[in-house]
Amino acid sequence: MTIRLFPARWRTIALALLGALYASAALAQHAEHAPAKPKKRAPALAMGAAFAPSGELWVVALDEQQRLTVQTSADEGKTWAAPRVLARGDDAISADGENRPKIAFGPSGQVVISYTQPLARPYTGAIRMLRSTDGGRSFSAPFTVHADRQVITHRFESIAFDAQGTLHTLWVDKRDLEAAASKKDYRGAAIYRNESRDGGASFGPDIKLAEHSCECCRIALAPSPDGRLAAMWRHVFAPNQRDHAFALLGEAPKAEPVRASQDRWAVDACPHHGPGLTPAAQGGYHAVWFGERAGVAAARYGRLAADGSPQGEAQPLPDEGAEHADLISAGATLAIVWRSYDGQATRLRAWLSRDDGRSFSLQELDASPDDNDHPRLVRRGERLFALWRTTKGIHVHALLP
Amino acid sequence: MSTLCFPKLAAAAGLIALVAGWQVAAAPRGIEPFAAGTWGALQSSLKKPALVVFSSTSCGNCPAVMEQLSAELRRRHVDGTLMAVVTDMAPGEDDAHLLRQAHYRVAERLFAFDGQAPALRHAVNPAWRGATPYVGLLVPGQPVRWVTGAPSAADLDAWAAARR
Repeated sequence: MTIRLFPARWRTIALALLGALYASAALAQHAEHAPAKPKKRAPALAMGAAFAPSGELWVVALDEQQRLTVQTSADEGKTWAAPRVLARGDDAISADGENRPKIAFGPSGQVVISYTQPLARPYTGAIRMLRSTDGGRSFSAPFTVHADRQVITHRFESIAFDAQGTLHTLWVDKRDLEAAASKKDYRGAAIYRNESRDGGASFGPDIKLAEHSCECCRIALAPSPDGRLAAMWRHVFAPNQRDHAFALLGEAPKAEPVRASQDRWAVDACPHHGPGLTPAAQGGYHAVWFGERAGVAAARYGRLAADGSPQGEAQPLPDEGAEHADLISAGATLAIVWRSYDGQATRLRAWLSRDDGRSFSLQELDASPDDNDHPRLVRRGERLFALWRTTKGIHVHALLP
Repeated sequence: MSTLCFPKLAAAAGLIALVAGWQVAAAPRGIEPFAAGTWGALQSSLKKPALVVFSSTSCGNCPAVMEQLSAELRRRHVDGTLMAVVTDMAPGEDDAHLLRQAHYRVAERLFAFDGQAPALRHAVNPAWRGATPYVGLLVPGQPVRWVTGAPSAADLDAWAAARR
């Protein structure tokens, strides 16, 4: 015989009250420990740079107050004019690591500045642009570049004018992932692009370049010999190999893009390490990328054929700690620049070639104990430069010739 | 009818409240700074096994890995700690935003990089070049096992075996 001290209903009510009491206590404790010592964020150092047709060096970046600014130098970075703040409305701007404001000069005084605007939901963003038709004396208010206005990922944009003056914008886009029947089975994101034939006044439709790109790495652009643009990006080849893909913009899309690297790094992770691409004097391209091959992680340099396929064996850069390498060429001169943290300071190093990549010499460019950006490379005619921003300022290094 | 339903409804409410209370209790209570000495201190003070996920705000794979590891801890009945370290937001920058993320709420402790990212990464593991998720499988008194991406069943088996 069972003696029931309390009726079932009262036991149930007691259980409910106990649960509610526990939940409220936990919530109260949570609120009590909620943090909130506001702390100033480390400066967003990522910047874009380009030489104007006039020969002035321009950089676009966020300043310490997170304002969008442009700065110019008439003497290749030895001295700088005062920064000029550009109106960007209420836009937040991504400006660290693989995300940075960018600037490009087109024909007839056109200048465009682009950036990724992070939106409220995680992983979402919009590609925004400011436009000038008077050589950069004045800029428009920011506007969105893509036709798709869903609050989803549109991030990690790259911009460039081709030889005909058409402005190309490429970005990482998740509309296909969002539309997929099974999101967990969709590999990565996609690369979308559009074109503007009037320097950013209007844009053609969003065009899918490739599905299954990496979600978090910059896209490299380089001029092709026939005046078009070539793109290289980190791709997620089946089942999960984060190698690199190549495409010439304007060509009919392929079911599978050209595989430009053969590391076969099978990983479900974001490397946060996009590639670099520049033309080779003897045809094809020079490329640099980060990846893991047979368990060895390295930044590697390789040659690509005109169609983007690998030529010969890729070689690791002469620095085990090399990261965020980029490269630029002018004729047979080629500069590969990277940063490397040695436990005390970040070093800026270059691998320089005067014979189209057949031989290289290693050069120590700079070192800093301060927080710093990835190296940015620019070209003025036949001359190549590396720009490196630290919390102390912008360092400009003439590389070649 | 309402009399008959009341006990069931009350029981369900109690159960929901209990689960909610447990989840809130398990969630991180704030963002802790991850500075130059944090990794060393974490290791030296380790009393029980831990899984530490280095994450980032643009890392599409990180939420699934956090959920996977949380589920594995429960499934294996491991008395271990799941921690997350956000590598691209500073403490105080937008703590409320981070604390709202469902995948961080399964962690017991949540940190954010407080200083130069390359220096902090170097302090954690000089071989780590910034990919996320980067997962440290820790057992007191033993070297850390590192996995880029989602740890495999074999990784977790080895970690679970090492703690015994």
